[in-house]
Amino acid sequence: MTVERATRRYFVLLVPAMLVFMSSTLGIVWAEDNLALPAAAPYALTVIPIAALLSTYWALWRFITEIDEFLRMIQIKSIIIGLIAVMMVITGWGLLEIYADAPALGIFWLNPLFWVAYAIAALIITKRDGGVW
Amino acid sequence: MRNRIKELRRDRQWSQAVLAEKLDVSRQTVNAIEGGRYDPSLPLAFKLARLFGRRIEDIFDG
Repeated sequence: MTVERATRRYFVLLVPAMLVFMSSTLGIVWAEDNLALPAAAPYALTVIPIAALLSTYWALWRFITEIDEFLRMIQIKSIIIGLIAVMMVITGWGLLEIYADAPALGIFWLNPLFWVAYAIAALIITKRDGGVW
Repeated sequence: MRNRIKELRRDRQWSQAVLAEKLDVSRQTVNAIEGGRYDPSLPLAFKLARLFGRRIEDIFDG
């Protein structure tokens, strides 16, 4: 498969999945604030953003398996940097919560943090090593 | 790792895109290998060697 086709397949799945994730997350927050939902409803509704989230990671997984070895190396380096960013924030902020009474950080934000760190790393490594975007 | 891919490719008057197509990789990958920024896997090195009709050690300097 060509890189162009793999990239197209990646974004064709990633972008709608991200949109479903964001809109369903906002929808749940809105519904919780404005509707008299049964207690179990948020648990049931959370299945929607989680399914969308799984789709985003499936899109990334498939993209990595469909591109060639050099481009795959760039993506894997970027993912590792994204995970390092998440681990550093979890550990650093966790210590601040324990020892410095820092406000609690919602773990919901770790997924967006991963994607932002991964995307920035992918752009920088691609520019440095000559990959494709 | 230094290599002679650019020279061998030019001998055949192939563009990077043509070589990439023959190897079933991206042009960016050919560019990175030629520039010494990426060392190919053994299967890809064998593919290059077969394509150019050379031994791997004739293409890549250790």
